Order: sequence, then structure tokens, then C-alpha cells
Amino acid sequence: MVIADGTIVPDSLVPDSADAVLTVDNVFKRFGPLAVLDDVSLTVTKGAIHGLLGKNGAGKSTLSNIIAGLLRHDGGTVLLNGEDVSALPLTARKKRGLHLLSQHSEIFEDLSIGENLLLPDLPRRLGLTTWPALHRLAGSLLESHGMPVDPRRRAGDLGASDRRRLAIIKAVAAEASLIILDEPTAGLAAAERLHLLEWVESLTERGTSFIYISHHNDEVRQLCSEYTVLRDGKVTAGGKAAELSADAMARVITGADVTEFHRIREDHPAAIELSGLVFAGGGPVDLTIGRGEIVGLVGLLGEGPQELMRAMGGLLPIEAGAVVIDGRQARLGSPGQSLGSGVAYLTHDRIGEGLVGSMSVTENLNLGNWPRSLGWLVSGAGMNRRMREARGAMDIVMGGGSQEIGELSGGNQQKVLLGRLLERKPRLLLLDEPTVGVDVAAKEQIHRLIDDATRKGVSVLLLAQDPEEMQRLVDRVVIFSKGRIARTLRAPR
Amino acid sequence: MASKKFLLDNVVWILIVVFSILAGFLNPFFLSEGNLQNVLVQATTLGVLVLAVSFTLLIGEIDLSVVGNLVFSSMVGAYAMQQFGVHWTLAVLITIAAGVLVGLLNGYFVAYLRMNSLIATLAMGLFLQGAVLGATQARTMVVTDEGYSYIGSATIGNWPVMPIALFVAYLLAHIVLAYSAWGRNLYATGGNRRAANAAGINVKRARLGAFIASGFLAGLAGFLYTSYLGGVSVTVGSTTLLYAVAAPVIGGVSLFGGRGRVIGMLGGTLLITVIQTGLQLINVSAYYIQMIGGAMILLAIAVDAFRIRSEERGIV
Repeated sequence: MVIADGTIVPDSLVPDSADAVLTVDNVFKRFGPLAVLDDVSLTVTKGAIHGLLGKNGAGKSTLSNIIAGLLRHDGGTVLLNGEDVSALPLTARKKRGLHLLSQHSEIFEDLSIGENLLLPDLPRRLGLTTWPALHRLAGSLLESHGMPVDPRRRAGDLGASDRRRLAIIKAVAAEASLIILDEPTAGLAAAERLHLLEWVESLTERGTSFIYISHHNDEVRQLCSEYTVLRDGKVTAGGKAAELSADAMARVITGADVTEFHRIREDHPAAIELSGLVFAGGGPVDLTIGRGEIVGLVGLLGEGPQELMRAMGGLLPIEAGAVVIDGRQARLGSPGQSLGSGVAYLTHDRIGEGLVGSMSVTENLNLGNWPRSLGWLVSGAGMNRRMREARGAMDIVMGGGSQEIGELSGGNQQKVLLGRLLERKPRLLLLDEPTVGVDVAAKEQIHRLIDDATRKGVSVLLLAQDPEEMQRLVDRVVIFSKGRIARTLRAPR
Repeated sequence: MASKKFLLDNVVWILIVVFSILAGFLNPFFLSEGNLQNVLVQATTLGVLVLAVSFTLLIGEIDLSVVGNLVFSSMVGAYAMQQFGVHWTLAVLITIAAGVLVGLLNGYFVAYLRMNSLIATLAMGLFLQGAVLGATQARTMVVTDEGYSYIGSATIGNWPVMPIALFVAYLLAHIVLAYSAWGRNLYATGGNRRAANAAGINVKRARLGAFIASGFLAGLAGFLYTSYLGGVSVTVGSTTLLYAVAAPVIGGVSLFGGRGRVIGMLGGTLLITVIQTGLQLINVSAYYIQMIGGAMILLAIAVDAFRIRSEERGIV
């Protein structure tokens, strides 16, 4: 196998092939002229959790799609339990015990938990489903896999982490020998995350193996017995996870030392005033935000912080109260009005609410804020100029402006979205999970961009699950409870 | 690989060429100048209806009232001339205004009352066609005004004027859809409505606008068709509606919104017209023409589905 420069290869990288569930050997894949996977090899040991790490765009998703049979590779072999499955489609690989669980776990919300678990092989008599048998069987499966819930309940009522458990149990019950988990903890709170991981670990005792794709290096170090790091489509490191320090891991992922960014904290003159703001899901809220200040909002889901942001962004109705920016009352009745008043909301749902997948990178950057010529035509030159500026200022990695937005990695998509908002010259940025699903290096850049914006006088409200992100960025934290501000804490200088 | 993508993207034009050569082989008149004129004249009304449907397809909705609207608006225009003796220029404006009014209603139903466009416009189409049949007792209204029927019958040299209307309509549609801010808003709204809204686009107004444009074009088609026939034919076939929906899809307009080019809409229109006139010329019975038309549409859509599938697999 070929291994790239700056590589750490311990002796343990080459395990006994008899123990291997999966062997990927010199796999090669190109999209057009671009090699997205270049001679990638890895081995997953039976009963192991194998961490797959790398920045966005490093080739993790491509590799997992090739392993699962969703994409065909251009060279090399994939062996599952010793059998060459390179030519087999997804369904045939699934029959042989290989399951891919994507970030958006497929669940039929309006069916019961039991049905979700047993479909398509529901217990039948004379061709008709026997419900008591179904619930008994599903109940015992759930029980024995450490998820004691009533199988008759509607699956859509389950929380995010239980949905993922359900999908995993379904795969395990189908006698999976290898399950690929793509970011299973995305969007979960820290405690839930830990729970889910411990539970996954307990499943390996039955001999099931996992490939675990994650941006959370600490999780991989905690959970995985072995790992592989991809960078630009090449394997840059692999081996036993315990042998690698956190710093070394960050280094092999980004290919450079991550220079930690530190925000300098200072005083901020008051600029934006929220008074008696009542909105769907909370209030009344009174809050003064300083010019260039970053205020972190903390609170559980549904306790108000996200609703406050969405209301100010024009996406939820405001029932009472006022927002005054530099002495002028802001109109926040729709996203268009909010943007016009200098309030820009960055959504947490990049794909669903941020980008238009059928449009190009350039069009997504200019969406809804078209540079005009003659008053009604979109100026192509104007759009391209903004694209060039944004690309330079934000280091957006892409082929060209006419590329479809979906071809960019998550971090670069997020920069395009942020660039669109900054082009509006906002006075207040509402950042709802600004680095969700973004790799270490892009996260660093986005933090700098946010900090830069505040130096130019933009005020920020920030909502982030990641406590480290909060700590690094915010000047002040307000804690929400039941839709109101319960406490305010100032960050140490 | 690039050439394969090119072939798949332009399958409509390839089918037009292949079918024309075949038909010309069976009846040499098909490839004559006279028949080319005939094809373009036939394509004009359908082509404008195709544009009407396409505006709503681009936002992920559909307007099935276009044929009902065509009949209704042309009746209103003809009635104004017959009963009140208005000048033909005013009658043209009245015809188009009637179409816009229907589009405005459709748009209000769909964009503001959130009614399902498929059912709402189907019902609107039935309503309008029934109303016209009742008001005219299914008799054709003859239009004798020379000004009104000029565009449908006049020639310059020996070339008919009517196709000019087709190309002007497509050129304007192309400018509006590809280059105007409103056009880009339509594509954005069709591609991802929530994202368009969050980006500050007034999505309701964009959606209303798409239906108004559809009504405007249906009214225009009503004027062109009446001008061509010299009267209001109250019984335009239901196959016209199906062709008006099929043509954009054949030309690559997505039924889910957000994707589709004006040149493809034109290709879809021409393919359907070429098939129809070609089969007539080689003396295929009208019933089989419908059958073969259906089969050709299936083929075109199958190729389109193949293209989408291979794009998803990353083969093309």
C-alpha cells in the first residue's frame, strides 16, 4: 500500500487477515479529473470500532459509500469477510451483513417503533401481519439491546439519539457483521452523546464491528480501538487509537499544526436593545448587546434561545416588544425585512434552509441579494466579483463559481452561506450552530471570520452545542430557562 | 464522458433530427419549406402554452388550467369585439388581461391559501371550459376583424408571421428566467423554498408571480390561436393540455421545481409538433398518432430518467 508523507504507521497497522471483517485494498476513485481517493487501504478487525477521521472533503463519505456499495470505485478491491464484494450492489452487500447508517437515519415517522425495527419482514399469518407477535418480538429485541421502550409508540416521537439507536438495533438484528456509522452523534448534547457511544461499545461484545466516522477526535480516541485518517483522498495515518495523542491526531488530520485562535476581550459600547420581546416560544426578553460584542445563548432545545434567534431573523412571529439598533427600531416581520434592518440569521440547517442545491456556488452566494443592472436584470459581472472577493477573503476551496453548491465540502458551503450574510453588511449576526458538521480547519477559519466581523462593529448572538466554541468566542453568556433569561455571566478577560 | 453528457442533455434535438429524417424518407414533402412553415405555425400556440406551464413547474407547482384559460380568455376578447365593438388592439389587451386575471386567482389560491396546485388548477380549468361551453352553447365564435387575425394569417414574402410570435415569446422568457432577478428568485424558490425565504426572497410573491405569468401566457396563446383559426374554438382537445405538460418535461424541466432551461422547453414543443405533423403526412390514422405520440413521450422521459440516474451514480 502507498502511504502519504507525514505519516504515522505503527506495526499494529497490519493485523492478522483472519480477524478482518473488512479489507479495503488500494481503492481508487476519481470524479472527472480529480482523484478523490488515491490508493486507500484499511482493515477493520472483527469486533472493533474503527474510527475514520479527516477534514470535510478528505474522502470519508466517498470511501464509506464505496464500502457500502453506493458508489462504484475505479480500482482496487473491497473484501467483506474474505469475499470480494467489489462488484456487488448495496442490497447484496447488505445481505452479507454490511450496513451503512447515514447522518439522516431513515425512519418512518408515522409507523410504530416495532414496525420500523422489523420491516420488511413483519411476522405474518396467512399473509396478514400479526400485531401481537410483532410487538412481542420487537419488544424483546429492544430490551436485549438496552433500549427498553414500548414498540407500539410512534417512531416519530423518539428523540434524536433514540432514533439512531433504533436504526443501529435494526442493523444488528439483521445480523450485521459491519455497521458504518456516519456522524451518529451530530446534533446530540454532550451527555446523550456519551450514552450513545457507551451503548455502541457494548454492542461490539456480540462480535459486531463498526466504522465510526466523526469530526470529534476525542470521541474517536475514547471509543475506537483502531483508526484511519484520510487527508486529500490519501491515508495519512492508521493504527491503534490509544497510541496517538490528541495533538498528533489533529496534526495528521489537518496536515499542519492547528494554531489556536484567541479572542481578545474588551469593552463594548451598547448598540442594540431588545426590550420586552415576546415571540412564539418565549419572552419577554430584555437584553442589551454591545457594538462588536459576542453574546452566547445557552439553554436546552425549546427553552428559548433558538426561538429568539429565529424570531429576530424574521422566521418566527414576534408578538410584542421592540428591537432598537443604533436608536432606530428594527422591522423584523420577515427574513427580507430583518436583513433590510441589518439583522442576519445563519441557519443551523445548512442543506434544508440555507442552500439551494440546484443552483451554483456563485448564485448561492448572491441569493436574494442579486447585484442588479438596469434595475431588474441580475449582473453576472457583479455576482462574479462578489464570488472572487468572498473566495479570497474566506479561503473557499472550490473548482469554480459555476459548480453546483452540493459538490463543495460542508465547511466551504458554510463559508458561502456566511459570505452571503456578510455581504448584506449586517449590524447583528445571529449564528445558530455556525460550525455544525464542519472540520477542524474550517471551524478555525469560521471563528476568525466571526471575530473579524466583530472588529468591524458587528454584534453577534451565538448558539453552539460545542462548549469549547462558546468558551473561545463569547464575551458574555446569557442562560435561558423556560423562554426567559435566567442568568448572565461575563467571560473572564 | 463529456460527449455522453452532451448527448443526454440534448436528446430532444437528436430525436427531432432522427424523426425528421425518418419522416422525410417516408414522405419527402416533410422536409420541404412548406412543411417547415406548417410545423412552426402549429408549434406557436402549443409553444406558448408550454411556456405557461413551465413557469409554474419551475417553482415546483403546476398549472393545468392553461387550456381552459386559453378558451376563456379568447372568448372574452371575441365577445368584447362582437358585443361592444372595441378596437382589435383593445381586444387583444382584454384577452390577455382575462388570462392574467385567471392566473392571479390561481396564484392566490396556491401561494396564499396554500391550496394544492394540481387540484386547484384542474378545477379552475374544468370550471372555465364548462363556463365557455355554456355561454356559447358549444358554437364556434367567428372573429372577422382583420387586425385581430392579422398575426395568425399574414405572410411576409411567402413566410407566415405567426412563428415570429413564438420566437419573441421564447426570447423574452429566456431573458426573464435566466437573467432577471425575479427569474432567479423563481428558480431559487423552486429549488428550495425554505432557503429562498431565509435569504430574504419574498417567496409568496414569487409564487404568485409564476401563476400570473402562466395566466398571461395562456391569454397570449388564446389570442394567437383565435387569430390563427379566425374564431374561438371552444373545444380544444384535452390532449393539448397533456402535450403542454409533457413538452417541458421532455425538454428537461424538473417536475419538482428549480431546474429547466428555456431552450429545452422549445425543444420539447418542437419534438411533439414534428411527431404530430410527420405522422399526419405519412397517413397514419389519428388514433395511432395519439398512440405513437404517447410512446415517444415515454421514450424521451425514460432517457431523461436515465440521465438523472447516471448523474447520481457519478457515471456521466
